[in-house]
Amino acid sequence: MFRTYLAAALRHLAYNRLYAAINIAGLALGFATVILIALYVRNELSFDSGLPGADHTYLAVARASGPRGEPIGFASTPPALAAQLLARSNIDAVARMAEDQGIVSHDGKPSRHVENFAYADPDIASVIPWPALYGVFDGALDAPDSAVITRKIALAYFGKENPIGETIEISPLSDPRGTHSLRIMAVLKDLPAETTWTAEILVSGRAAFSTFNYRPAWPCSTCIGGGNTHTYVRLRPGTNIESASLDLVPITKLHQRPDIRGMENPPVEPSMIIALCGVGGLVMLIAAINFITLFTARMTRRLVEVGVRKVAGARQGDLILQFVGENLLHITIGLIIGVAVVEQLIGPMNALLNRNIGFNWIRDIELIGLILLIWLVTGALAATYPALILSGFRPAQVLRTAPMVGRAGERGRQVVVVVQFALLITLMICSAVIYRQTGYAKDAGTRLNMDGVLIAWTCNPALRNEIVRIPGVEATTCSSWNALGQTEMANRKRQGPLALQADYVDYGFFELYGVKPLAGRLFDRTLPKDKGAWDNDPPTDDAAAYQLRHVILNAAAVKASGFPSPVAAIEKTVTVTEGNTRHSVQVIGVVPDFSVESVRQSVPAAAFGIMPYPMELMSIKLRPDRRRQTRSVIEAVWTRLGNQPKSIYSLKGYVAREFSDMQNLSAFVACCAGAALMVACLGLFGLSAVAAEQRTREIGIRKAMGAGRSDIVEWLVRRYMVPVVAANLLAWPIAYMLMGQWLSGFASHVDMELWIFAASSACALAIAWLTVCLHALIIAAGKPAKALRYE
Amino acid sequence: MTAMLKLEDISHTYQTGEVETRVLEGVTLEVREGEFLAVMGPSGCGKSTLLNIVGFLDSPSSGSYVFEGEEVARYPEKRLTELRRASIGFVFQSFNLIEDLTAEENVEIGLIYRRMPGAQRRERIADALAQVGLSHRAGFLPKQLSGGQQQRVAVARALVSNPRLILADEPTGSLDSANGDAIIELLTGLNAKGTTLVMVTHSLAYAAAASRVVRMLDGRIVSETDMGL
Repeated sequence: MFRTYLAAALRHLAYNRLYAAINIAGLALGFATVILIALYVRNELSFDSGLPGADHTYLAVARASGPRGEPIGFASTPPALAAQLLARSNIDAVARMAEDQGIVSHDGKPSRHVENFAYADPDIASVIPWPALYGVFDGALDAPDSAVITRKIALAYFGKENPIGETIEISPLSDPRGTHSLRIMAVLKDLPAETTWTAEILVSGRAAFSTFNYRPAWPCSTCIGGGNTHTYVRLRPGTNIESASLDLVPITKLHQRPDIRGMENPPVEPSMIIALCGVGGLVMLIAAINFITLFTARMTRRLVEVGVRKVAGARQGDLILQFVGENLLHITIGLIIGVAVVEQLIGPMNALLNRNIGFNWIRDIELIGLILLIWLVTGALAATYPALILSGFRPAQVLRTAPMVGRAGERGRQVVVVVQFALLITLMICSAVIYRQTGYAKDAGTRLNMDGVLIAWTCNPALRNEIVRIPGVEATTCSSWNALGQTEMANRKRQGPLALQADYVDYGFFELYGVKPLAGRLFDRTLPKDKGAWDNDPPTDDAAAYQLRHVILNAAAVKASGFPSPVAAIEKTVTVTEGNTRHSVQVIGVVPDFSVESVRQSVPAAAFGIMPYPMELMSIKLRPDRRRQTRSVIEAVWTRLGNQPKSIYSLKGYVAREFSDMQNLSAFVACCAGAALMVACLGLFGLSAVAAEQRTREIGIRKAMGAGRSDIVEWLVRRYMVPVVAANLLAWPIAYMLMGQWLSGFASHVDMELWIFAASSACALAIAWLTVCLHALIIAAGKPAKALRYE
Repeated sequence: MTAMLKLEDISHTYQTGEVETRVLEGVTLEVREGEFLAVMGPSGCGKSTLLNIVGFLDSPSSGSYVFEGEEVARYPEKRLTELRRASIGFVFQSFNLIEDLTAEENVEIGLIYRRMPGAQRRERIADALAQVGLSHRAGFLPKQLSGGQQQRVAVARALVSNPRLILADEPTGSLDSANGDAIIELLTGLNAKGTTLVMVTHSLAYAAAASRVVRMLDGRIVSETDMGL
């Protein structure tokens, strides 16, 4: 019996090559998409779980409220917190890590770019005992001049895996005091891509220049209070996290917590993970629905077989077995092709998402289980239902009458087309909105004119004087990084009356970035009071004694200070925080909110003041012509004067890199939407093929009555355009709701413009039109006599 | 009477996979304007294929076909559609009505591709249905009509565009004798008004109504009888 079933199944497959190909291709695409999404989601959810002892390791988080009162957390905590935590009985070990950037060199060969490194307490080896390849991690950071590096860094700077005992030099960007020589004490195994720990060079936290110990003489906005210190805690085994009475977040959950600010590796949006899972489910559902629809639409061709088999004594169970087996054959072939497609696409996907996701479908038990589960669910859905329907017909009924899938069947198929295209149009609108929001985040969202602006991680006066004389340079200015990328600071909890965050700029800063005042004026070099004053008399060259007198507020500060309008704030007095002191200053102007970080979080209230000391960042505006040549000249000057590697970046490129995770993810979502589109088009092609097949005779009649090819194409296409148009009615409100929800998670976002909806619909219509038209053209090209002979 | 169409040495083959089936071989036939020609022969002798070629539903594999002075045997599909639209009406044995359309909508199919304005179309449809005596069934679906009524709708569809040539492929084959007689009466009436008629039939009685009868066997014309009408 099995042999006859297998023969029937294989012959049916061979005789119906077109439909089998459509079904298998759709299923294969569906399987591939679902597996790729599942691999990505598993990767996102497994962040940091590869670190030893991850289950007992937590990050201390500072709690605060966001601008809209929403609870937010800061990954950065005061350096002193570690000592307080150690006193607790339920804590096994505590260690701090503070990320920084700097120029790294060895043997006079500097790094090609600014390197990330972190200051770490020696106990970091107890909290996160990451394996060492050479040396011993535990105790490796005891000496103040010690450092630990990964294998990758060892190879990059020393050209060998084991440089134990050799030295590297680091010049931190946040510390203008010079270069520090550090001895390599251990070489660690390379860090996995899936970790929130991004620094591959660990410098002993006992070093004098470490953020934990060093308090700069001048107010450095990026290092005040150790603003980027992360405190890792290992609880004693068996300790309940609640009983620890601390704001502790398991490190395995950090990556899924976008409400926690200040992590170097941007967290994933849970809504994005849910959306991706939804897309995966939809693609598979569309493929399964197509399979069922196509099978039931062509069911009439098998009715006689059902009748004859039943007359010959087959029970319904026998036929169910036969048809389920046949369908499972299709699904299994689809799965095998899908797995092969994943093998091909996993590399490009890793490149796109900057991950190292493996696809081992032979040994990865979890993955095998998942694939089997998808196969089983799809099989249960797509194979069983049509088999049940087909096997349920009574022999007399199927042998006596002609095809029974008439108007009702067609209506059902039209509903399928409507639902499918509604999903598709929704996906297209979502992809377009995500894409636009990503673009907005990189450019317009900053509300800064970044065109032709270079940034350099130093504002050395001698260098600036040379650069400003280069003919292609329009202007230069200095500022703290925080003035450009304003973010809430962890330790800026409001206590007492409102004190605004002071961000430091130089004359010409706002002009260079095209920021126009909403009220009042910008800083003027000719007005002495615009510059701050020294609180000791006579003034000394002591930055710590420097205090602002005039400030420019941003719109958020005007609101936070309770002024009814920007104009109302002019010449009023507000309180600002500088270092650890607060004092009153006068408002001379108000500018709009801006920040290169603005889309991820609200722009905080800020007061900008003039800083006469060199700051960490120089902005260089190039004239529009010959920008490339001008940049080369700047780099030459940089090398001549600085003797350091070039750390000059295009600001636009720098910001684009900051948002690359978001951009890559949006590209991935778009790819998945594309896969859904292809599956749906395959389904539509199949359905239109069935419709055309069922209407072959009608086509013959119409042609006999004078219909030309174009008339037939038009008639066939119109039949499927109506449901596609109807799909818009469903898709638009769904997409509007979904994207409204998603965009509300951003502090600043694009509008959902009507043209996106219209363009997505037009695109879906065009694709549907092409799909149906292609088939209609083939059908309409046939001789009418052949169509009339068709039964 | 002048010749409306002239077939000369027409052959036609069907290709099914690797098997080639020759359906017509060296058929030469002339149909004059206003003539009523009956084509007879056993099943599978090529009658319907001949009719399909005459009605531009198919193109001959070889030979010459001159229709109203034009050599059309090698015309592309587009030009054949135009000729069919302008000159020919069809009546089939199995009626070939579109199940989803009412009687009047089925008749309209004969006009809709001629890009006729709606008002004029409605007038012509009403006339055609009146001619076949089915004005009162205009809104009925085919399944709500008897076989004879369905074939009358098919005749109405064929005549609604005032074709110069009506091709009827066994129009009475699926009908009882009373309905068959009625259909033949309708067709001869049209012929009497000047419409050229070519009818494939198995019935000697109905062939007797024609002015000329050709007999076919194995894809060839084997005899020709002038009925002297």
